[in-house]
Amino acid sequence: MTTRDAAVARYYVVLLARSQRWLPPVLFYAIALAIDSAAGDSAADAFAYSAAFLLPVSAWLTRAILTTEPAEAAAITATVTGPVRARLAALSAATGYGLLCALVGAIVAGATGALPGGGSTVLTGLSTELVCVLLGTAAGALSAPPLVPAAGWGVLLAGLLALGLLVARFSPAAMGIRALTTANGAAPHYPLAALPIALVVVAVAWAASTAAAVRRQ
Amino acid sequence: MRLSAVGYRYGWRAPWVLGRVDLDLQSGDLVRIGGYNGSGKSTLMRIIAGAHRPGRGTVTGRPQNVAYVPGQLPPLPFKAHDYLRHFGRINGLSGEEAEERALSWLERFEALSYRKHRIGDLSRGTAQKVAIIQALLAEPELLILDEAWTSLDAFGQQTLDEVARETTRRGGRVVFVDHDPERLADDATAAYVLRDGLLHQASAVDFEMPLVLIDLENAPDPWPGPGRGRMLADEVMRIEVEPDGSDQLLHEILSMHRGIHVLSVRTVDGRAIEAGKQQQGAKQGQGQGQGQQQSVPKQSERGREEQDRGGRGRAERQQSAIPRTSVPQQSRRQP
Repeated sequence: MTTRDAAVARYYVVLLARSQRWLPPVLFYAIALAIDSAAGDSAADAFAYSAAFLLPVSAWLTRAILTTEPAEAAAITATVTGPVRARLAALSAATGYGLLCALVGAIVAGATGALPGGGSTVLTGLSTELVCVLLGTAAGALSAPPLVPAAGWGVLLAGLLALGLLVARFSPAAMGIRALTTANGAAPHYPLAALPIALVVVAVAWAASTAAAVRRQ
Repeated sequence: MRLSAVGYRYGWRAPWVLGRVDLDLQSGDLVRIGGYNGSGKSTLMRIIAGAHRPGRGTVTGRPQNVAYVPGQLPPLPFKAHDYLRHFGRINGLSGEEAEERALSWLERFEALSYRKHRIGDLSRGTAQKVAIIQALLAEPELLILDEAWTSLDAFGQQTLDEVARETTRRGGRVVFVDHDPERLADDATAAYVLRDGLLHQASAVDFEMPLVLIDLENAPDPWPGPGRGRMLADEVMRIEVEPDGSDQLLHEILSMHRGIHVLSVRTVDGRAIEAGKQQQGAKQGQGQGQGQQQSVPKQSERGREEQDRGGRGRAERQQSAIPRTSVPQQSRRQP
């Protein structure tokens, strides 16, 4: 990643920040966390809970960042950086927002309850949060223009993908959450396969989104 | 830089907007591209710029440093100079250098006092200046101007003309689309017209070429001729035909093809479509003394607008143009 790539990613971070379209997903996430921390579970449960919300939130943020730049402005950016780099920078910026939310979730989880299982719980929790953020960006990338140009269908698809990735048996997100919620006070079994599978899913989704953006903005 | 057999369509089953475009761009070239609305000019401009890849064909030898100016900068949530600083850095400049260049360009376009305004709050012309300056920050080797003059005041238009000339003099390439047929007419090294997805070599006369447009319902697709047929939305077939052949064609349609319904017939000339817009622009810009002075003489020449009936002779069309233009200007042009 060169300084120019960083500059493009930074442009997208600031674009979303100034557009205020981050506000609904972040508020949604904050409310979800507030409800949870009031209940007072164990840290493992708190990690699982925040990770589960991170998936739709990060899909939402990704869709927001990919739809916030008007077509003419996007053509300017794509001309200067090339369409591939522009799209990857936007997706990286969305991942950055997701990771920031994950960090807050982790702090809240660490602060809420007792920490049975110690380091193993923290490791599994953080990894599950990371997996959920990544899968969220995958869901957002697949449901944003130009793959899905209509806003309504895009939101619907993002929602269904997020739900599917949370409940599907072999989804890496579900693996991590299951490991956390079934620990029952003991150290959770770290789901080894979750992160690699998530990375593959993300690579495929980002590639599809980028390939579509290269052809058409 | 070279475009070879470039084609583009918006979907797998959509028709090719660009059929097969070949274009050679040498260092120092200043190339004009014309064509009717919806002929695919903007799509072609974005492909040349590299913002899109073509659906088929290849683009080779595009220089490193490319910049694109759209017809309008949409309301982005940035302050003007923040936006420019971002693009300076994206272009690989340091923060200070970006700032410095942005300020000097803002000054040259007389927009320095607007640098702290949000782009969404700027007038269209000032926002357009920001879009132009964004493109000039890194001295582009390829500059794409897609109707970049449209909402500028007379001074801004003049400055952009100068900038285009400077870019070619520096060894860059400039490709532009503009409604004004006089735009950079003396400097352009080549002019093309985009028609039916193909790029045709054009001379200045081409932009004046009168055409009759006949819209038909229930017409066979593809159109067997004479004239060039093109399917519009709602099953309407638009035929473009030279005025000489239009009466004959209408006669044939009405007498021989009973099923075909003629929706409308009108004459346009290359300039006429554009003149309508230019006139509106001139009206808006009349508060600015400079703008009036410069745009009116062109106006009188270009004051012809789309007409509702086809098949009229050229003389008659010019006559009807006279009331639209101011008399003193007219007499000065034709003493």
